[in-house]
Amino acid sequence: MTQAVTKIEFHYPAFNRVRQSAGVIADLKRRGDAIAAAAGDGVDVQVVVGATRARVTVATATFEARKSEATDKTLTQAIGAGRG
Amino acid sequence: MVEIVEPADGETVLIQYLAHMLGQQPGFESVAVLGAMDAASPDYEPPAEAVTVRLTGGVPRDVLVANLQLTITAWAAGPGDEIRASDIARRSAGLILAAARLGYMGETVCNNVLALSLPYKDSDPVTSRARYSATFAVSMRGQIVGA
Repeated sequence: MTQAVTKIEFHYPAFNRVRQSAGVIADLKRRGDAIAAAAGDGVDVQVVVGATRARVTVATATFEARKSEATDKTLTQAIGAGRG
Repeated sequence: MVEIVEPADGETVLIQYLAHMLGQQPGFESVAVLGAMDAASPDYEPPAEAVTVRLTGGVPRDVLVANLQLTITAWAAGPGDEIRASDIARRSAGLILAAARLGYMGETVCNNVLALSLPYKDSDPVTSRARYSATFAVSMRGQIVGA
């Protein structure tokens, strides 16, 4: 006896549109800003919309911020601010 | 009344676990594991090779378990020893990831370890010693201390 097989077809272009949508970009920016605020001065936030998704980068931009991360892990400790 | 659950002391648990496990690894027996290196103090004599452990955050998973964010930094003896620092960091990372498969980190229940970043070059700006750092989210069960 044969059984019917359920086949799922993912619609990747739709996934990509969601991942690049204004709502996702705004949420990424909000989380990035929260991490940067928690990390202190000299931390930049950049949102980039790639081919399949938007992404946010939070990175040190000044010597003082880089030294602070290297000695005290200030940016690493701020990651939690991006949750929720 | 409700039970009082104290989150695990992640730094101490990981320091004790790594010190024990690295001590059993050929070539890594002499690596010190500690909470901090006061390298900026003029009288401080830092260990030649070391791993420092720092709790850099975390969130509760549920009433009993917390996902603790722990950052390790592996120090080599000198400024040019990046390969050795990388070796220490990668071996430490392997031991930390193994804890989830063991089910325990030392005597603390640990069912999940997620590498947030595997070892990356992170030279010390104070001493210029070669360093590699990595960050993990480690689930640790807390302790019921009262009700």
